[in-house]
Amino acid sequence: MQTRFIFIILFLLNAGIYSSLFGQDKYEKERADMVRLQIQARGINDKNTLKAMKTVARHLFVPDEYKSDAYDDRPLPIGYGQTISQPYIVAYMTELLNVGSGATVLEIGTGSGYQAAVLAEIVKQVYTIEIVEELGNSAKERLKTLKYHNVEVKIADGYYGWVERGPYDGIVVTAASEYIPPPLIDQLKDGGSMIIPIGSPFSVQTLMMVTKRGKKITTESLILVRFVPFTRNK
Amino acid sequence: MFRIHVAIGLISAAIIAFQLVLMQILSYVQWYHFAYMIISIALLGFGAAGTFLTIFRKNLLQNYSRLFPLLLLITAILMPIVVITASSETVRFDSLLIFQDFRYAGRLIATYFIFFLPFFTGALTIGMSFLKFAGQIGKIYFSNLVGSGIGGIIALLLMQFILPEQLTLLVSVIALAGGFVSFPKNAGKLLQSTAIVSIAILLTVFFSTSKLKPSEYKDISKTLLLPDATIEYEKSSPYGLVQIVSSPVLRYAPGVSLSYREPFPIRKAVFNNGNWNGYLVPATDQQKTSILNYTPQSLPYYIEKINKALILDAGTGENVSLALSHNVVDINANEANAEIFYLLQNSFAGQNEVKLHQTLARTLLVSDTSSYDLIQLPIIGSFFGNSGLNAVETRYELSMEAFYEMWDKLSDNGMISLSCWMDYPVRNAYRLLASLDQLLEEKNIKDPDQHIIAIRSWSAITFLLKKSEFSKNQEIQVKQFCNDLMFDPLILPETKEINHGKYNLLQDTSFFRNIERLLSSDNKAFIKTYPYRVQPTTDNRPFFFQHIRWTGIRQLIASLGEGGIPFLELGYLLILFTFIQIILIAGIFIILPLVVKSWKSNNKMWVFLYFSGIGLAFMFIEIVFIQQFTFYFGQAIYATSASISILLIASGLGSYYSGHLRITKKRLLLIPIVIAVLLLFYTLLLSTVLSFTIGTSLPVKILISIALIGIPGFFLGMPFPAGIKYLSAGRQEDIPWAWAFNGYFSVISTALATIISVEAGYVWLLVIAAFTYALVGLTNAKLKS
Repeated sequence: MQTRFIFIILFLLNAGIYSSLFGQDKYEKERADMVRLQIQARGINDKNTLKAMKTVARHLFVPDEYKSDAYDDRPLPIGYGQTISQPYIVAYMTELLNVGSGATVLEIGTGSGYQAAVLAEIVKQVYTIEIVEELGNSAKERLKTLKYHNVEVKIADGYYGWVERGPYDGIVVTAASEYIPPPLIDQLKDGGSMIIPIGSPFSVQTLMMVTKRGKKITTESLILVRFVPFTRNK
Repeated sequence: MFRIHVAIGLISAAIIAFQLVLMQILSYVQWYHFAYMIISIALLGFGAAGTFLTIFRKNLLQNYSRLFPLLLLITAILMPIVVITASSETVRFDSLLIFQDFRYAGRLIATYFIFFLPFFTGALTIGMSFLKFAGQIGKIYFSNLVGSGIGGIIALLLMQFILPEQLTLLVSVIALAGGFVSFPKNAGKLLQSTAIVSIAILLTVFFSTSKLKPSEYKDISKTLLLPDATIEYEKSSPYGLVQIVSSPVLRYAPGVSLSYREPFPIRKAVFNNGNWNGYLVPATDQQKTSILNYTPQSLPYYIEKINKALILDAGTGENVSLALSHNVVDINANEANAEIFYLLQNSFAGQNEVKLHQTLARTLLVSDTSSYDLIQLPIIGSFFGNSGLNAVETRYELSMEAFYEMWDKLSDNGMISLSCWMDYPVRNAYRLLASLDQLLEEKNIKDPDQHIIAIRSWSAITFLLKKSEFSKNQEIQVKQFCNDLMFDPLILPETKEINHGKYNLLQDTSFFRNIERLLSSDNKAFIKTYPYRVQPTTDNRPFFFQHIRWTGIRQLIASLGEGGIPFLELGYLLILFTFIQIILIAGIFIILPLVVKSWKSNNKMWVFLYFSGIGLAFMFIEIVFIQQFTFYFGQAIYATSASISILLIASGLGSYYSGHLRITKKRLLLIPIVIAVLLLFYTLLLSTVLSFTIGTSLPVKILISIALIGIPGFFLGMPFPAGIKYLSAGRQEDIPWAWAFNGYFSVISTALATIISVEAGYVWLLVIAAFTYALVGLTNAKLKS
């Protein structure tokens, strides 16, 4: 009886360890494929971005029911009418920010915390603001569990930015609105950029880059390289 | 027998009212596309009931007196129950996720089946009565059609006062009344206990009705997540549920210039059916809307003195407010939605400069005889992008006919101002420019380049079209305006080498080349080869936001990826998805059971052609009438209900009359041919008659509508009962098949009519309907006497 009990325990332990290892392997492989097929293949070359995308476990930032789809080439629902962006958009925004290891970055719209985690792999400090309390609290908890000590989450109105922690080398606004808040432009360092995705999560998104040079502010609408420009009829 | 007629009238009224209430509910919790699905589900209920009758005919008819009230009571119970079930967390679907997560497609199908149940049981009572009293089919059909017509009117009246979630219960009471009216004296225990249970259930539902929960992706759901967001006001009407939400972080600065450095004002937001409708313009500070002067839409006021402005589809009054801030002395504005109009009136009460009209833009354009210095439309499209959910929305104010009417209302120096949010791939801006181009061409303008100006902000484009040529000074003013507000000129009359990227760069520079092509003599070639439909729209095909063209689909897949198409035209894809789903489900429920049962008849082809033809064509005609009379009355919801009600009541009278006719081969041949000829006349004359009389008084217009809809309606009510009556004389085994074919083609016709109108236009719907009736008539020529 005792032997049988030990066997069962060993079997269960073994199965648990095996499945956990197997599961981990599976996600690592999926992540590597995601980087290779969805991100590198579309022209993202920045080493830091690629490394960060390979490192951050995206499946830990999506609801359990979508874990198996975490590395698919699409946005996923995270509740409260919000989504975690398509991996490629996260990578493209990160590359566009073009910030180094000493940079300080502000993110407006924490969501699940995935973009903040990716940035945290690259820069010195990430400040992120979420207006929906439930989302902000769960992202805060998640980032703490995953030991992203260089990310600080605040639940507040992103319109005002986070003036005490600024100015910033770059700002990422993940929730597009009909306006670009002046306080955010004020908190950008001279020469700094702000990246905003335009378009609802389930429509074709483009990115907008707002650059501050002295008093002049310029915008650039960037098409995602996934979409070939319609230049057929030159 | 009288009680049966009353009960049939009541259940028919309840079914139509339930249909309208479900449409209203789905428009709120999801989007309006599901109106088509609800019509199909209702018709599927009728088709499947016919098939069920075939299989269980004997038992059903033997127990008619008890089953009839029993089914009515069950229908009454099911109506609120299915709404509660479909709203539950395990079943509720989300349109936006259907193409993202297949589980939601499954939920959609589950919803389809759940909603199907009360229509099935309700239709079964009507079908049983048709069979039981086949000899008096004309009178029974009359009760059915008149009841349906009245049901539609009742639902619309109730929608004015009662929230959609509470309406379901009221409608079920109508069905319940039908059950009690037909309650037999010798009711068994089952019937008696069902009656008690039904009252108990409805009372329970009455005391536990919960609020409807819109999709988490709808604008209102996201807004309600903001800190301290509260719904301050809500009012239901046939136009939808209008709600006003406030939050201390709800700011108002639509596409405002980056040079605007002041704090953005806090405003209350207005939603209709959970969709964004605008910000509430406060009554106290209409004159202090300086923020609007930092938007591209304010351009016309900088380059021309505007004394008289026509603000079309004013919504909550943003453009009216802009005009007031520029001291325009005479402002006319329209808003069709009665509830939004009420808010607009409140906002501008006491402003003598503002004259508000509760009507559609097109109706105002036709009936108003003034001329204007500026005609301005609200910004087109959606800043956030909306996944093409509005692809099959009709936009008559953006058709070529509308632009011609606007042109005719311009003063000598008058301008039309059109703005759109930037979209990618670009579609709306090209379509607007193509329309303006065609307008100038049609008006034989010598040098069209001198009449168009366009500017571009970081998020939007504004086009100005002037009746006279823009002056050099005005061009300088435009450049200055752009410099001040960090906008870029896009089209200027004199300057051909424009610096397109001083402030707002575009990575895809093909946009500028395409704009140039649209302005050149090569524009038609561009429109033809661009992968999206960007040609101007017309009243015949008024789908401004429908861009997918099947010939360009390969190129779209190449550029967007296979999974990318739903991101662009979800609205149209939902219609196609619904259509395929309907074909399959209706086939399974209506045709398949009969196939299994086998059918012995020497009349198969006739039964098929006759009953499927009239099923298909009737719905096509209904849709054309809705479209034409909406434009005529300027009130979409009321016009829809009025045209359907007139059509149903007239058809009921036709059916009643046909009951007195002896059905001969000649008559069976003649009735469809008369309808076909009438319809062909209508293809040529209907829109002309309506345009000619649109300016007459409301009573005259109502009389004209009764005549125009009533005459064909009367004849349209005859073929079905006449055909059934013909079969009842010795060919009764064919009746269930006739019912099934009619049901099947009615079911698929709704979505099919939408697809045909998008692809070919409304005129073709009428032409196809006419030819179908002609074919039906000719088929009768081969009948044995």
